[in-house]
Amino acid sequence: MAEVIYDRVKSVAIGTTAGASVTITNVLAFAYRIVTVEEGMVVPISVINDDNPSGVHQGHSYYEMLMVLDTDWLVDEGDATSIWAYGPTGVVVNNDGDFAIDEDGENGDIEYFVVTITEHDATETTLTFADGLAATEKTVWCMGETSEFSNEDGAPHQTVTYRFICLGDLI
Amino acid sequence: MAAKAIRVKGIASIIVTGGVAAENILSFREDHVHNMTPQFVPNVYKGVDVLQRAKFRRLTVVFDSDTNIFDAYWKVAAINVVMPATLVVTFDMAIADGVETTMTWTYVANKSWVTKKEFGRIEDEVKRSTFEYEIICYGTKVPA
Repeated sequence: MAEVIYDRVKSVAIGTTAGASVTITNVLAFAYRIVTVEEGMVVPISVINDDNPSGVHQGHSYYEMLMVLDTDWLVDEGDATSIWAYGPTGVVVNNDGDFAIDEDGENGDIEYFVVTITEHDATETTLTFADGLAATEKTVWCMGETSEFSNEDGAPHQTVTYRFICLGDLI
Repeated sequence: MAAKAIRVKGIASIIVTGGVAAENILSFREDHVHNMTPQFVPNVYKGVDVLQRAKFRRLTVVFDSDTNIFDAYWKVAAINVVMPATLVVTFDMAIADGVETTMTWTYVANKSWVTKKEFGRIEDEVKRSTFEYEIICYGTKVPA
């Protein structure tokens, strides 16, 4: 299955709208791939966080994205409690006032999710998974978080990786 | 020049409050498992109140040498007991060139269980004899 990995990521903007979002810049890598269940024929994902989003049908494909960070802090914030994904100091990601990750309940859908990539020739590419408009509501969710730290010599990075899903097309 | 990103340099220690901090840590991993799909929780987790579809964290700590930090919570002939104290992991952080600090992740009390304890093989010519523990927990993680 095809997978695209960018290692020169300028930023990932996440929030409710372009004007109400945070720009995360300590991104080591961003990757996405298209997941097609049984070549689009059978058994799709049907439930996300106990929610059955409209537009998810049998054979629906989706994007799976990974965002690899140096840490889960908001960049340039000296306060370790400023973590983008969680409340109460995190970033509100939708008009219902939800956060991307709820410790125990349903995660909030992310209504604005824009990735800016620096290409090999220094040009910039923008990947818009959700643009803050109504059409992209309930299409992007955070689906998991993995933190990996090592004290071994030569460990290149200590990473916090967030996994997302996008049910819509790239804009 | 853009500000240098805040980043984690390594793991300083792990401690169960009231105990002694262990610093001989090789690696630390946390998986926050979300309920994207119905999860069947296998029997190994039965009894710790992690229900089907619930979210939980799986912590994996690898020590470079033996430690007794979790021994009180590991039983051979009985059910493992919940950690009645908080589990605190401290990281070394670089927040700017030449400026360092620490960050702690605190896993709340009465929400954590040791579910796996694995010794490395102690043999000649083995570079490291590691000791790996797996802990599952749920509830809030408090960063500071």
